[in-house]
Amino acid sequence: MKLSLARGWRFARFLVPLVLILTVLPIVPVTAAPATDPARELGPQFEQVSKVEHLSLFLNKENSQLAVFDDRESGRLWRSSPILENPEAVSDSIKARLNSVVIVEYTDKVRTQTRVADIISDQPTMKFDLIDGGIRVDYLFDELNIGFTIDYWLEDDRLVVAVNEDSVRETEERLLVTLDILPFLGAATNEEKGYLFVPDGPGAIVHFRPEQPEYRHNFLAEVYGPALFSFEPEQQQGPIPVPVFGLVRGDTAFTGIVTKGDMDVNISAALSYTALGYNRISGQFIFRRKAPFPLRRASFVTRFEQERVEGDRELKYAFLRGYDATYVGMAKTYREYLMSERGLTQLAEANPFLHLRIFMAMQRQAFPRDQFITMTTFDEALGMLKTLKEERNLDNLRVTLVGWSQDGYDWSLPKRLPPEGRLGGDDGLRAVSNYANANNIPIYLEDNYLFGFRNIDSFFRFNPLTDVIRGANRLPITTNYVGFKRKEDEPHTEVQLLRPEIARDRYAAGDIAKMSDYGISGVEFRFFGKVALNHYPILFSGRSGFTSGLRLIGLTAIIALGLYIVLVGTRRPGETLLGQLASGGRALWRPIVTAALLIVLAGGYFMEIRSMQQPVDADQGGTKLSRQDFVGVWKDIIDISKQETGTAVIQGANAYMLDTADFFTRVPLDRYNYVFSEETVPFFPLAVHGLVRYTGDESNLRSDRDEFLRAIEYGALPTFELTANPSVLLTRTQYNRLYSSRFADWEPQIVDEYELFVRQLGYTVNLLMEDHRQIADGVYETVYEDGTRVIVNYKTRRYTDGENAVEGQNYLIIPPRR
Amino acid sequence: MKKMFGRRGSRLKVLLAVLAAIWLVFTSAGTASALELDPKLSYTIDPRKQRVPSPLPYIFEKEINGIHLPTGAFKEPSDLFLDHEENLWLADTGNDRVLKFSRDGEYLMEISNLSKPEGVYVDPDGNIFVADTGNNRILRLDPEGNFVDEFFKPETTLIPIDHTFAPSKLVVDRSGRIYTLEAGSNLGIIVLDGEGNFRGFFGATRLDFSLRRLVVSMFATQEQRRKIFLPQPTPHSNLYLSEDGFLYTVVATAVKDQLQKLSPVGVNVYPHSTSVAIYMRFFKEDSLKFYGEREGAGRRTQFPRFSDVNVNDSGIITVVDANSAKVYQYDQDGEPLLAFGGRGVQQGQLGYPTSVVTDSEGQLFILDAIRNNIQVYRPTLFARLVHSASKFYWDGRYDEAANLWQQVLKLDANMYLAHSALGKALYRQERYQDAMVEYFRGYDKTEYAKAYSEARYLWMRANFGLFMLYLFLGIGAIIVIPRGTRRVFEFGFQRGILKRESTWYKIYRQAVGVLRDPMETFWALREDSTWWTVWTMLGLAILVRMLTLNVVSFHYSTIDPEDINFVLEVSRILVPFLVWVIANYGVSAIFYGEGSPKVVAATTAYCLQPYIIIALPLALISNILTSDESALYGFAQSFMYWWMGVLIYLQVKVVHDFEFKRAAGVSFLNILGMVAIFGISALSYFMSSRVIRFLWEVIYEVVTR
Repeated sequence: MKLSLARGWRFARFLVPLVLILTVLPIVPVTAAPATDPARELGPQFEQVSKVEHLSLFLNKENSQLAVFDDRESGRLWRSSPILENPEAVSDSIKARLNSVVIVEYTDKVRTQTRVADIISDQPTMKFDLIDGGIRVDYLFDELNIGFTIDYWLEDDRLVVAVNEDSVRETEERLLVTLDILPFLGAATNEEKGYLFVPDGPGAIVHFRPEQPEYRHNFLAEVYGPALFSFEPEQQQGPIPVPVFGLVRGDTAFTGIVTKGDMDVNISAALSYTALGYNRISGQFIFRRKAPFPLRRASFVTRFEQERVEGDRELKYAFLRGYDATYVGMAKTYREYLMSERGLTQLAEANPFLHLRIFMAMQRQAFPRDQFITMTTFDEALGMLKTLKEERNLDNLRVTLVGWSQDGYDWSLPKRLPPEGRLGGDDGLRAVSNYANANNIPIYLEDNYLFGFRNIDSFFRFNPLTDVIRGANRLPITTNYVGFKRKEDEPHTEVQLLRPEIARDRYAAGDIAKMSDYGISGVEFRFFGKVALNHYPILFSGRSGFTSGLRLIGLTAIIALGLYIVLVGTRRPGETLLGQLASGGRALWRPIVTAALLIVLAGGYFMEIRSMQQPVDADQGGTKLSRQDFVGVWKDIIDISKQETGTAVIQGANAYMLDTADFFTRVPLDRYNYVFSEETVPFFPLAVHGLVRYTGDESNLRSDRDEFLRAIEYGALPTFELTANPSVLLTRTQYNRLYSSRFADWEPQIVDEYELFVRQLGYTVNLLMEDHRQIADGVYETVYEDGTRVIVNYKTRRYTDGENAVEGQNYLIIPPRR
Repeated sequence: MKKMFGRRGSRLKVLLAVLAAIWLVFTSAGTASALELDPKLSYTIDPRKQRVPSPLPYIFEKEINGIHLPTGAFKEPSDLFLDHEENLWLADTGNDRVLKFSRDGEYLMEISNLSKPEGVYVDPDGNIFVADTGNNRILRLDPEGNFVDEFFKPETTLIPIDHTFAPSKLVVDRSGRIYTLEAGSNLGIIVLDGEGNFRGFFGATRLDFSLRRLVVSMFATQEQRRKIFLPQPTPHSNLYLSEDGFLYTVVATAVKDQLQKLSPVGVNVYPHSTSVAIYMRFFKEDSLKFYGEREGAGRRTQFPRFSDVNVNDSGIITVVDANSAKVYQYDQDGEPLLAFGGRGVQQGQLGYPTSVVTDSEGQLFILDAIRNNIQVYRPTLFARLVHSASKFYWDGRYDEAANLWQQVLKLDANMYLAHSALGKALYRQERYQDAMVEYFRGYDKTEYAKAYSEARYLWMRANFGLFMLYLFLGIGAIIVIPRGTRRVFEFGFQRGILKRESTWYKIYRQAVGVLRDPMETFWALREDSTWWTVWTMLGLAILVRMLTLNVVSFHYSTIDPEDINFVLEVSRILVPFLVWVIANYGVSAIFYGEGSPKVVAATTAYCLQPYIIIALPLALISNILTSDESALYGFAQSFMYWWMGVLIYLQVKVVHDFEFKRAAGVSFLNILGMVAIFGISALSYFMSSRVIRFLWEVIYEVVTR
């Protein structure tokens, strides 16, 4: 009985596509002509599940394929799987892949290799339940023992897809790695016009073309950057600041926003030249990450982590039409989401400014003492502010002091206070902040709550065993002190990364309060908008047992050596040990030193045994932190800054930080992965301009005028990183990235950029970006909500459209007509 | 039974886990990477061979990949050439054709019916020469691409008969001679005349002297020689003919002199490794003239593999390294100017560059064999300034160059070459002290010393009186210091702070004694030595070493303050001392030497005295010496070492009461003993470290599995 059923099923498996093709093909023309009746186009397998406003959701219970019909204008049908034009030309496995709404990647016990399962070839058991506005499908892959429930529903003109944490089932034999839901939604062939949008840096697109070079085929990148630091430089990826992706197909488009679980998702895209033959993009949820697990001392094997990344996962799709069906429309959709669900609001006032980072001091490694290099004293910083404010009449400035802390830039972390005395100390910093406060110049101190150095000074400040971040392989994550290696084989200065709770409780809580006493307006947090890590605690037996034993043996050995040197090394011939200790007068030092050594020994034993008797603290290595938790603790630190000083400034602008501050520095204005994407587009500026203020890279470190033009095009505020002393002093230090920074050299440029960005363009800071388009090769136009147009010409040729003319490598601001 | 075993096992596992946890903390093999990723990788290489970040010299402009052109995609293209009309010629090897494009990427012409062509050259009259590698011929075509002539393997006895002629790269000089290379063959550059007749080899790379080869060539028969693998001269990988008739070549697989500039008679006029340097490399690794960069260390070192060279109008040499996918630029002195690129997915990074050309606007066209495209790079203001400054400098127009270098420094204070060049200009303006500052920043020790010598001369002329005063003070100090020391002791005795029989005074007296009459003092020391001598002398020697490192002048220093390693410097004194004492005591004991360990250690410690006395003043004096007086400095240094050597010999002789000959023999054996100690400790280190590592690995695996 069972057998025959299975056979029948197998038969049906062949029959279904056949029926599908036979029924669908004759009715619907292959060209995507506007469909008026979705039910007819879809055929009888699909049944309507729900209809909310303009969208209706259809489901095929055979294989849980979906279709969404958008009835605006002439109507548009979005299918979860493409209709094959000539199915004979495609192999069965690829056909199965293309027709799956879910693609599951899993691994086995060894956790090194992954395999892929899909709906068609692995035939999971599916159970359907109606839910509000949609349907709940429970998938159970019987052979793999992997199961999960996916909810599909319509809400506010969006298609929402969600995986509930509780619904995920798996066994030790088969472990879930990734889950790609609706991988082929709206997948398009090359005959259609359109492009994929990937959130690489500010945003990037790649067009559908009949032919593309071989390397431009796949894109797979983790949102917000990789959570685990990898060994391989090739595996490094650029910033992916937003969890958004999109696909434009003719005059329609969809965009996907990862609304839950955005910390653990890949953006996965492919062009049609891969075996699958379609241009596609999707969000791929991560359940396990790869990490290099130590095999032996110096050899590692890359395996997936044992524990699953937990949390609910949710993706929202919006469908765009007509003029909105571009990256601009996607950005606006994301902006709406940010404003309605993440609580971002439009800035009330423009309040434009020029941002000035003043680099103060750095140490150069030297012998016997490290050399302290003063680049700017507090006095000189004050002088700069006075020059700009009083002589140049630049009123709207914001200033960040960098490298102000004890021993200069980063040198004594995690200790930062007091402000370095050689720069002017407490009084110097107070003088600067008093002047700034009196003149309405917000002044920030840059700070780093991630690094801890393992040197003599800081050795006792934190415990390199329990206070550091560890990766999935339980090894401490260390990093190069600076990104730039002087030599390929240079051993990196060892930097430990502090656990965020340690940073918060032990350092930020006290230090920021003290910093606010200097009268500053806020703290600028390095790394906060760029880095999010996982922390995996290691199980320690605390200070008990073996560790303590070792310590005591070591201590005893050292003291014994000391006693030996004192007593035996200085013994005169014929003198007894006791006589030696009893001898008074000149040799009094011997009994004294002996006694001191014995006291140290006794004290050591006492303390060690006491600590052994204390209960073992289970939390010594910290609790496990997901990226979400990690960021949560950092947000606490930001809150401390807000409480104590009023504001916080974030370096980098990963989306999870957008609601914590209104000023972001060093936001990426250029894409990273140039091989896949063809063109940079200002998705990020379009989405957040007017909601937050942001700056790009420092103007004085630009290599080319293109970067200046890009800052204008993307509505970024200007920023400089300057010093009073010539930058040549920094050459043989680890901060030699600052290769041109002397204030006197850059003063005219500051005035020029202030004139442009603050006086001329300043009023646009709180305006939303309305539009952005390419009007000619290398000529782009940005439009703000009040009608202001900014045209930027990257080419060396003059551009003219009859009405307006833009010189080569120049820009034009057209104020709104009144 | 089973239960017990299980419990024991788990306890073992706990123990191992704890051990591993401890080890985890102290291992540096954690996960590591750069936190702040700087996508712009561009730098200069300073004279210490360190990378220093710089602004981007080139910006990616566009790519030419043929995909949207009638030509279709390229396949494994291997050569690019820019003719006099600035058209691009591409040897599209995988597609068996040569393509012609305009500089803007517009398709112009195709030459087909070829087989794996690897090189193309177009002379000023437009005649096309193609290295039709697969057909083993050189093809000559007229400007329209019509067949004119073809040359096969030239007839000569100098090329082995069984050798297949497969020309790979070629250039043609003004007189019509063809210089051609064969891929992977070490025959060198083959020169053919306009009719295809063999005219000889050109600029062959030479082999270094090797004893093995000498022996083999002297004694082995032809047959044996064929069987023995012998190093072969490294082949050239590409060439470029400049307007002035110099032939620039790159050698792909060598570890030195990878970039050569051959004069019309075939001599490498470029800075290259001299034969002295080749021997010196055993002592000083970087004595060879090396271009590009090594990556990695030890056995995993990766050497550059230069695939092409090009020279622009300013004489800037551009080299592409296929191994690291980087682009290096050198000036006419062979000094590294700029470097950028690297393998990666970013704009401005490359896959596998095989060829490079520059046009009159300074744009770079780089052929990428992995991405199958031509990438066009536009120079930034920074690169343009560096190039023209370098050209002026090379032409000897130092003042104009200085002006430009100053502008470069405004953009990039890290540009050490600009500092040196500026120093040169200041030197010419006789502003020697300013020149010294710039030379210091440019890390140019020789020029610094020159400027210093001028500055010192001027200072002496202006302040002769002061100079004489200092001179007398110096001489006075030499006289006064020994007496003064004795006075200090006398003063101590009078006040009763010191006793005449105190150890310190004894050590002082003995030390002076060793300097004045070593034989007598060593004899006396046999009876009366203390361990305090050893601690004091070693402490002083270490102190002197540390001070010396800090006070020695810039142009005499051998190590930079950033690189001083305290432990290393201390062990440089401690280790030889310790090993000598052990060897001396051990060896002498065999030969019935009479010294006890204490006596041997104490007397050896006194032998460090010349170093303690001379090194520091010498380092101080180096601050007023110019490079002309380096002989004086060297003499003082060798005097110091000879003195120490003589003392050590006397120490062996007197302490163990040997006669003259025996003492010499034992000293020699001592040295052998030292070598043996080093050898044994190295051996035991390696063996024990293997065992320890093995144990750790077992523990690690148990815990982490």
